[in-house]
Amino acid sequence: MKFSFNWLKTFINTDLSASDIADKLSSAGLEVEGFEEIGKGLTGIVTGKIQSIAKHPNADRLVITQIFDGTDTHQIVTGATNVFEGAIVPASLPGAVLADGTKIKKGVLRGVDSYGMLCSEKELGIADESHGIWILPEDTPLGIDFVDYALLKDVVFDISILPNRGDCQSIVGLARELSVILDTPLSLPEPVITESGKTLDLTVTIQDERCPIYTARVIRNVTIKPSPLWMQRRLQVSGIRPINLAVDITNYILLEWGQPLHAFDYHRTAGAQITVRSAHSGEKLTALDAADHTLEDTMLMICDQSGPIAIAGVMGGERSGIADDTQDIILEAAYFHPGSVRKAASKLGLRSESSVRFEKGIDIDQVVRSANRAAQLFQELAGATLEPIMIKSNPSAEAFQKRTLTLDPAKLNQLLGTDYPTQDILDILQKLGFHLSQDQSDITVPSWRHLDILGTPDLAEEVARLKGFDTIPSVLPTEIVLGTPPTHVSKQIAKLENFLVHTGIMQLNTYTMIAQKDLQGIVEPGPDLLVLNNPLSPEHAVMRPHMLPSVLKILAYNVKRQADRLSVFEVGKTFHKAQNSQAPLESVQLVALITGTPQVYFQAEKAVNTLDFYKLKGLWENLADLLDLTGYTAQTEPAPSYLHPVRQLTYLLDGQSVGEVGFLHPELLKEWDLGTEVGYISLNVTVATAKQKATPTYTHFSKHPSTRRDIALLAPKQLPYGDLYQTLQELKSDLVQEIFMFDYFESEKLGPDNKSVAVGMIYQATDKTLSDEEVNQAHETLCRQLTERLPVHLR
Amino acid sequence: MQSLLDALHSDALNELTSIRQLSDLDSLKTLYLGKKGKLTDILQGLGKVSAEERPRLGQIANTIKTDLLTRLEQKRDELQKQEWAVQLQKEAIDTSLPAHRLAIGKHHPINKTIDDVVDIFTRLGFSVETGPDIESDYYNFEALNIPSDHPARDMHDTFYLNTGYLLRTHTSPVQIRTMEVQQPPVKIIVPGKVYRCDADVSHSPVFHQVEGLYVSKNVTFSQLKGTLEHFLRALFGPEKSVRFRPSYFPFTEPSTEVDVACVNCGGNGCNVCKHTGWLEILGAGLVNRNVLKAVNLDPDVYTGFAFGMGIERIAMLRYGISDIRLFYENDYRFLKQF
Ligand SMILES: [Zn+2]
Repeated sequence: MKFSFNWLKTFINTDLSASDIADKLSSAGLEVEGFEEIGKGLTGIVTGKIQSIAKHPNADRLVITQIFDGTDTHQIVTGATNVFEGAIVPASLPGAVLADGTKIKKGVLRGVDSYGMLCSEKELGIADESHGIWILPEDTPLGIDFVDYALLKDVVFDISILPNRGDCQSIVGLARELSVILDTPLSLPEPVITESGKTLDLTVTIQDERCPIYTARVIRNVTIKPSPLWMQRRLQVSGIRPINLAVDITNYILLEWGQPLHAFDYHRTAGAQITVRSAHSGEKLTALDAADHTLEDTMLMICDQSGPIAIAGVMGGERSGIADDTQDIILEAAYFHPGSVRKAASKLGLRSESSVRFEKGIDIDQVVRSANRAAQLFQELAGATLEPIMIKSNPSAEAFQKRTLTLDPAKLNQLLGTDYPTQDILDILQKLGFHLSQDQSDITVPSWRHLDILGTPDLAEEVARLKGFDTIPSVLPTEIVLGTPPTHVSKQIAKLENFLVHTGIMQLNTYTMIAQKDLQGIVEPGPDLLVLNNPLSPEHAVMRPHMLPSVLKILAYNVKRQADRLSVFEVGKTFHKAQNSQAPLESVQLVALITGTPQVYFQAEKAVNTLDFYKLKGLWENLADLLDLTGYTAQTEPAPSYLHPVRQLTYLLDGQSVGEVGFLHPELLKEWDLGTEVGYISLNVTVATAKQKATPTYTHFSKHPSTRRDIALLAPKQLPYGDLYQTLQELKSDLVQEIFMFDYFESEKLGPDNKSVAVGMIYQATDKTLSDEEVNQAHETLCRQLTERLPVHLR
Repeated sequence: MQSLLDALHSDALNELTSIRQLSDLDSLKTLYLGKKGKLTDILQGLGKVSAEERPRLGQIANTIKTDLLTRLEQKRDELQKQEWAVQLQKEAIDTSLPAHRLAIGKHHPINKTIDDVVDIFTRLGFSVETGPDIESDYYNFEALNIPSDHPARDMHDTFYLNTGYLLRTHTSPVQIRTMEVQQPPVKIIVPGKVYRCDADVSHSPVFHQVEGLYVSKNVTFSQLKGTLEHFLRALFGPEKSVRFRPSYFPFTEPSTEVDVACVNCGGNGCNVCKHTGWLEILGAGLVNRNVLKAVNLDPDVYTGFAFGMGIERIAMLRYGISDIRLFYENDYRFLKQF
């Protein structure tokens, strides 16, 4: 919100610089986001009347003007085309300085002397663009210091008003705050008005308790004309465009007192009967934004005999608005319930200068005073006649009740950890407008802080911010609070992440929302998909049900940018709608995508380092080891849609899928424009960590020597190694400690249907050293049984 | 006889000097000191020498023998070393060929920053808690003293889901969730993703917060100050200036915003700090009484402080990153720098 320093200074006296003021406001809790010094350096501008305009003898585009400043006449050459004889204009005479720092000197333009320059709004620093010379109102006095007269020099503070400081949404409110901060008196003159007798009918009826006070005054014979320069300037620097005197006065009061006003055309207000009531559902109103709004029955309306004429506190209607031919107006000043205004404004999408003030709460005690101040301006500036104000109010309404709090300085100090003397506390609160009871035990909250100050913590904040937060000591808590160890899951996630990073895989962090189209080929969007009602873009419109789209998108992005040898992973949340409108389900999934091979240059190493299925499988099982996962099984069917159908595995734990490995389906790769094979690993972290592993117990290991025996087999190619291994496990004697494959190949010599498999076996007993004979006997039995059970031959 | 011994000694030494191979060394040893070697030959004439001379000459012969043996061993060592050197020289490789590293794996800068922040607080006795990303209006707003018609809702541009749930706009709901199940003292730190309908150079619709909460008896604003000053100095350096400004949050009262001296200019004013010399880094305050009431704690008995910070902002300041979107592009060239 923008605040003019000049305007503030009409209520308080201060010599402090703008930057000092900004610092003091910020440290008292009013965050100054910046300030702009307008017209800095501007000087020497006077007003003058163009007495005559003559052609320039040597230049078609220039004219010679004679400017009369009330005493002297100055010859000024100008190129402007909008000047005319009799116009009053701002002129910079030799010695003057323009807004951009240009110094004006006597000059000669194409052989003609020119004693200064006629000025545009841009040159005077009040507009970014302007067309021609600034033609001033006819009643502008001549020869005056125009910089002062037109308020060309100002400092505009941009202050972010937080939701609890509705009272600071006005010049008066901020001046009041400053007077406390700077410890300087505030002068708020009482408006002086002369009311005529009552001649025009007007009735006001309040039918809704969300309006505790409604005032209306008929103002007659208002001339709709431009407002005076000073008023226009104050509106402009505050960010409001001047329109006409009537509208400008309402805006001026809104800015100065924080009281939104509304002016209705008396003769366009049917029956001169105003009713404050809630809307009938489906009622319609064309508002001043020229849009048709359909109203809901929760909305508070101002109505005349034929229906709504304004959405209370939000916006007026077109039908009853001020027009160029308006003569008599009804000026509304009221208090509307903050929540009610907020709801209506946000439902209708109409946030106005008025609604933002009502939302944060206006000062109910200043409604009438603001109305009078507006009336004063109508009388002074528009020559209008004021009828008596009509006030309807409900004094028992909550908004009128004074809030009284118990004042307990010890408790206040205890909360802050401070030792402020009671007298200091009382002084600060009283300066802020709090009223202290006789025995100093109770304190009454000023009307303008009614919504904000509710208890001791609020009082503590008031005292602390004016004392300065730097006066509060800094100490560390001394209480010993026993910390709980990190949860099992977060610890396991950290382990997985560290392992993968150390394995050379890059960690990603992606949005949890994805584009629905990115699910194609991965997850069929079902009814359990969580969709955003108000996404910023279709790219982030659904909550991901799977990590793959997020990670794949990043992989594709990087591949497009020529990054090769990419390996990326993320451990992140996935989301599913729950049944029976219960809270959505969130689970944690790890997905890693691996492409390419490490950069090696020797031919032999290239072969060794090529990405293959078994490396992926190894990595997955490494991860399982890291989590102490045991008892998982693998299945090949059904294959996940996104994986190569015959180069994938799904791992199961207690019948639940706990992870997958494989290569991405070539169709999916094509979809994402990926030319290379992409290895895929996923781990359902939620399932994998569901059971916390018990601390392992030590088992005694045999210290007797072990003996190795190998079996070389010729096996049908169709026979999976898994079956062979499983059979060996079933057949082996207790003496076999370990079974491992150490050689595998297929070759032309073996024939297309065969493969060679060599398996090693470690024999060892726990209680004695085995003799060769014992080992041989066990091994031979195993070999024989194996060849009987499976169609394999010993080689 | 002595002259014969001397001659043998000097002959042997001469030959030893010229030897170049280990095999020659052995033949030399046999030639002079072997059972049928030259020394044995000479000593066979010892019988003809007078009995007085015999021990002396025997002594000399022994000295020569010891000397030769020592020198032979020295020579053997020398030759062996040379042989190794020659052998290994043949195995020379170009050590300047590029290294075979594993691919570059790095932690994401956001995750890394969260870890560092959380670490500082866990050392102060805070326990890590987490909560769901998808929240109800109650946990995200109502219980935190932000009723539906409250203007403070404007501070939160909220994403809503087709189920009526919403994406949490801050990590503060975890305050409520924790206090519902845990009696004071509660001392927690909550990292997590949060969501706002807002996107530009400094705003991302998804970002990360770390939230802290300490509720017990007699928790004061000055303890909040002490804790946060400790944290900021642990993170940004012990000399860092810290400033507390009054502010407003619906779930705390009094509320404060905390600034640190600009990490870019050190406080003199620059573009990063909008020429103020300060950078806003944290929001904090004493837990609002209504929040304590929402979890059935008596605000006259318990007090607490809470704080929250945006991790992206801290990471941006730490690493000198000016565009928040870089974090979520996950470009390899970006990620590998951390
Ligand atoms: Zn700076």
